[in-house]
This record gives sequence, structure tokens and C-alpha cells, in this order.
Amino acid sequence: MKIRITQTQLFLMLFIVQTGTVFISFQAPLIRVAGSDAWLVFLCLGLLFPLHLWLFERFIDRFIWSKPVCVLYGLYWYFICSSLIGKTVYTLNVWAFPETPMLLVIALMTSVLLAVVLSKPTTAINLGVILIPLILIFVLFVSLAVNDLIWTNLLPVAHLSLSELQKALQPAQLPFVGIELYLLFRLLLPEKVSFRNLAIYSSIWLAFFMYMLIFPLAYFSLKEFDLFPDPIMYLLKSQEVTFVERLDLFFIYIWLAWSIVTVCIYAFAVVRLLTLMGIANYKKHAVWMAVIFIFITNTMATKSAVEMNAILIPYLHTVFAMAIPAFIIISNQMRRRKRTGEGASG
Amino acid sequence: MKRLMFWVLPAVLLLSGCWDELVFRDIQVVTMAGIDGNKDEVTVYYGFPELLDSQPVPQSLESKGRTYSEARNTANERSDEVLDLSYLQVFLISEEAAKHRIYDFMDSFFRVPRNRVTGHMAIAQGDMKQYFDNPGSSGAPKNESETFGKKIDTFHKYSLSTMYDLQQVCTILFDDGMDLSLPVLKIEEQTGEPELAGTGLFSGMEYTGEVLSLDEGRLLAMLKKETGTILRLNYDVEVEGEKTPIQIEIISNKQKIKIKGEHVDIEMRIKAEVEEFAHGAVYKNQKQMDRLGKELGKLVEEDVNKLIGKLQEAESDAIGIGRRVRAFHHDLWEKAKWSETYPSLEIDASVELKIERTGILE
Repeated sequence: MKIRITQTQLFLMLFIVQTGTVFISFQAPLIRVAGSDAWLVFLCLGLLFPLHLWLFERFIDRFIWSKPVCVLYGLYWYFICSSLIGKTVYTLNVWAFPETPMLLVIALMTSVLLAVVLSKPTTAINLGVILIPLILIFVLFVSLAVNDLIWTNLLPVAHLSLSELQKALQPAQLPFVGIELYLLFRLLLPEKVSFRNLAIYSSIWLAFFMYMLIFPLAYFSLKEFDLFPDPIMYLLKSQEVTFVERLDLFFIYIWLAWSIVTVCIYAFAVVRLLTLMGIANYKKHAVWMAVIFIFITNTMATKSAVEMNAILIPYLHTVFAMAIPAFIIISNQMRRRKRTGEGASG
Repeated sequence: MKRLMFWVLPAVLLLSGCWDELVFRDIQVVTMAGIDGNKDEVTVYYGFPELLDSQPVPQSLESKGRTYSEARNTANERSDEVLDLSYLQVFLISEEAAKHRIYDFMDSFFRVPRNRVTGHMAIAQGDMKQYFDNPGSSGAPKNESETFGKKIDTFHKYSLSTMYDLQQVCTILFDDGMDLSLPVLKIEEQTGEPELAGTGLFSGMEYTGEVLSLDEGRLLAMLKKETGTILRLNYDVEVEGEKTPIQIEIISNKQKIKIKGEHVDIEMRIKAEVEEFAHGAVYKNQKQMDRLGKELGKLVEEDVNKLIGKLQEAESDAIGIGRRVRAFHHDLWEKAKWSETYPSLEIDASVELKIERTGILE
């Protein structure tokens, strides 16, 4: 049965994938390098985002999912899933559940992942809907800090040297991770996507991340970012509300759900690749991949692995979201090859 | 079946909390903590309510160590239950300890995820022990964090000093463009009650030992725009050749800080209400009111300038002029370390006070 999605579903999946997990931690490494320039660096980079999507849309037919490409992206997304769950479990372990065995949490999260993968494709496609009210609640929580913001923290700008700018570009790319999924999910969409819709999606994405960046930047002093890796958690911890003692713990459950849905969408993408490669009985493969996933992720849920992945992922993103698509599109353009049908070519 | 699994599996995740369950009977909820000592030896005091005959009775525990962590560990070893700081309401630091890099004492309070960072912080004058063991005038123990918490809330309500919680303290400590100022508490000898002694000034991470009076504390809160709901100032003004006491309540306070080179102008436009004035003659006409407003404005201006001088002398940029300089005058900021530039700046405050209303006596 052919799977078809709407543009709203496409953008919702993309938004969840791009925001989930990284939105609590991309600020600290960026601000440590760029200081008060962080927001400007990210804004400039973020303005290129619609262009990136438009290029994908414009040359979507030139990006052919050959079997080697499917394998490469499958491995990449498998690694991303593992590092995201590793980061989530590590943070949970430090922040909320220090005594709970990490392997058990990973196994439970993987079982949720497997259940989604083995059920109908519509489950993964629509799973993001449950997050919409949670995202709104979360944004509201963060907004509680508005009266404590020190706006002068956002200035001065444009004082970065070229080498500092180069260093800042690396963590600034974390929120862009997942953009390459557009190339795959776009295949499920029968109609073309207009630039207007791409711009609307990009604006929402940019507004969300600018909000997540500006609030901690204006809330904490610059040197504090050396003390903690997840400023959003500390920001929420500092808010006093009447309905709950620890707002950060309340948030951590929202974040947990967010991360699980993110990884479910990545897993759905991997399954799509398997079907593109003509592997009909992907369920058996999915079970084995899940078992291996538990053990790989267990090694990722450490401080050193989390830190290493935060450095490694921007490089991988450059390869998988820019270099490989550019190479495939340009070579196919030169050879005048276009995508035909739904399966992967040999 | 699949649908059932879809809902059951995420719910299973919640069970992971079982390992980290903390039962109230196994923990001692610390509501007040105090630190005394120096960089070589730290004495930590914990205040907590303990149930005796179904009544919460304030108890305290004291322990020493080379660092805060060591002292805390010793306290834990001596306590029947695990000391839990997730409900900390008041954090006190002695004047001696505050004269050292105070963040070193606070790091554990601040960064441990479980600890509460919204508790009030204050400097304690005299022996820290008396804040935890003092019997008070009524004979009842006064080491309840609630007593201190309520007192500090009142100080803030009447804008008697600048009030910060642990998180805000750490943010200011790490901000090069602003210095910390905290309320200083003392135990009143006759009543045994905690009282506000003034506002303690910091320079960088260290307490300078300089304490502003209550009136200066009010003005500082006004300059920082961190006033509570009520801010009242008392002055003696000359009416018909006679010095008369007058109380004004600040309704609004607008400020403009202009920086030109190394000269800083603080322009304050205050709207006030006259709260108390025994001489009805003042309210004769608008001219009289304007004259009174001008006279009061001059008096406030004089006090604000004195306060700024005191802040500069203590090398404490408690107003946060450095934040503006860093943001808008980067050349001046880069000239030298802000703690070196700030005391040599020429800072002038001008006050324009307008009496907006005359309160109950009209």
C-alpha cells in the first residue's frame, strides 16, 4: 500500500525531528564560543535554512535513493537515534533518576520505538500531534522568565574573530540536524511544495530556536554557561510556580516524550529506507536492529560519549545534509538522470 | 493488542522512577542552611523541622570540614536521615565567609540538580550559630526558615534592600558588568529577633564589608529598579522657616543613563505621593507643591550622589552600570578590567521629583 502524507504532516515530522533533544543543549556550546554574538550567528545561519529546503525541493527528482545511499543514510540515522537516546538517558540519569539502571531505561525506550515501527506507518507519521499541546506548554513555561531577562546581555554584537566564528558555526548547526529527512519524506508527498510554505515552516523553526537561544542568553550571565550544559533546564528550575515544586522535573517528562517521538520518526525513516531497498519483511530486521540498538545506546549514555557526539554530529550533518545531497544532485544533473518510481535503484 | 501495547509501553517508562523513590521518613528536609568559615575550614549549619509529639519542632545540625562538601558529608554521617536540600528556603552566609570567593561555598547548592535555587540568600552578622539556636524573646526557637523567609519578604515588600535568590546571586556573581548586594541580617540583642542591618556590598565575588544603611538600601533598590510594592523615603523640609519631617512614597521612577566617555549621567524622574505632613499650609496651591517637589528632589539627588560615591569607594557596581557600558560602549569596557574602570568614572545623578498626589491629608 502506498503511503501518502500531507504537507502539514511532512512539516510536523520535520519540526519534531529537528527540535527534539537538541533544543535544550545547543545553546551552551554556542554561547561559550560566540558569547553575546551567539544569537546573531544563529540568526544569519537560520536565514539560509529556507534556501536549503528550497534547493532540496527544486532538485528532489535528481536525488536518487540508490541502495548504497540508502545504506549510508540508514547507518547515519541509526547512529543519530542512538546518540539522541544516549543523551536523553544520560540527562535523565543525572537530573531525575540517578539510581535507575540506564540499560533498563534504554530498553524501555527502545521497546516503545519498536512498537511504533512495527505498527502502521500512520502511527509514526501522526505521533507528533500529541506533542503540539506539550510544546505550547513548554514555551509558556520558558516565557515565565521574561521579567528576569537582562537584555543588555544580547549586546555587543559583531565582535567575533574569524576563527571564533568558525568555531561557533559548529554547534550552531545542531538545530539543523534532520533536514535531510526532507529528501525522504518528500517522496511520500504527491504534490510540489511551494516556496511560501517552505518559508512559513522555516520561520516557525527559526522563531522556536531563536526563542530557545535568546531566553537563556538574556537570563544567565555568559560565564554561567561554563557551569552547566543544559541552560533551559536551569532556567526552568529557577522559576517558582504555585502548581508544581519543580518545574524542571515537569518539563523533563515533556522532553522525554519529545525525544521518544523524535527517535520514532527517525526509526520510521530507517524502515522506509528498508522498503525502498526492497526488503519486504523488514519487521524481522527491525527486531534485530532494536536489540543491537539497546547495547550500542548503552555505550552512548556516558558523559564522554555525549560530549564526543555533540562535536561529531555537526560534521556528519555537513556530510549528510550538504555534501552527499550536493554530490548526488550535481552528478545526476550532469548525467540528466531523474528519479523514477518509488524503489531504490541499484 | 498493538494499540494496547502502544499505550502500555510508554506508561512502563514511568516505573523507572521506582528506583529513585525518596520516602519522606527517610529524609530530613532542610529548609535553612548557613555557612561560616574561610577557604581552609567551613562550618555548615542546617535547620530543619522535626516531628516531636506530632508537632514540628525546629532543630539544627552543625558540622565542619575543609570544604562545603566535606562538611555536608560529615553532617549526613551524623544525621539519622539523608539531608535533603530540595526545599531550601533560606541560605545564610557569615560576613567572614562572604569575604572569600563566595561561589566556592555555593557551587554545590547551585549546581546539584536536586537542590532548590529559589531560596532567599542573606549575609548574617555575628555568630552564625545564634541564627539556628537563638531562643528569641518569646522563648520559642526562632530557627524556623519561615521566620526568616517572612522577614526577608517584608524587607523586599518595603524595598529596604535588594533581595535575590540563589540563582540570581550566581548570575550576578558571574556577571562582570554588575556587583552583588545582599541584605545583611543581625540578631537584635534585646528581642533575639532577626533584623535587617543594611545592605552588604560585594566587589566581584567577595564581600567588601561595606554595609549600606536602610535609607541607602532603599535608594539602591530604587536605582536598580528592584523595589518591592512600597518604597517610602523620609526627609526634613523647610516650611515657613521651620524644619518639618515629611514622608514620600515613590509611585514611579524613570531613569536614563547617559554615558559619554568616562562621564555617566543618571537622570531620574520620580513621581511621588506625600504620605505624612503635619503642616497643611503646604497644600495651599500648586506653586507650593512644586516648590516642595523641587526641594525633595534636591534632597534625594544629594543622597543618591552620596550613595554612588560610597559604591565607587567600595569598588562595587551594584547598580549595574557596567552592563550598559559592556553593551553600548565597548571601547570603555575594553579599556581595562571593569572593576578598575568603574571607581574612576565620573558619575552624576540628577533627580526631578514631582508630587503627584497628596494621599490621606488632602
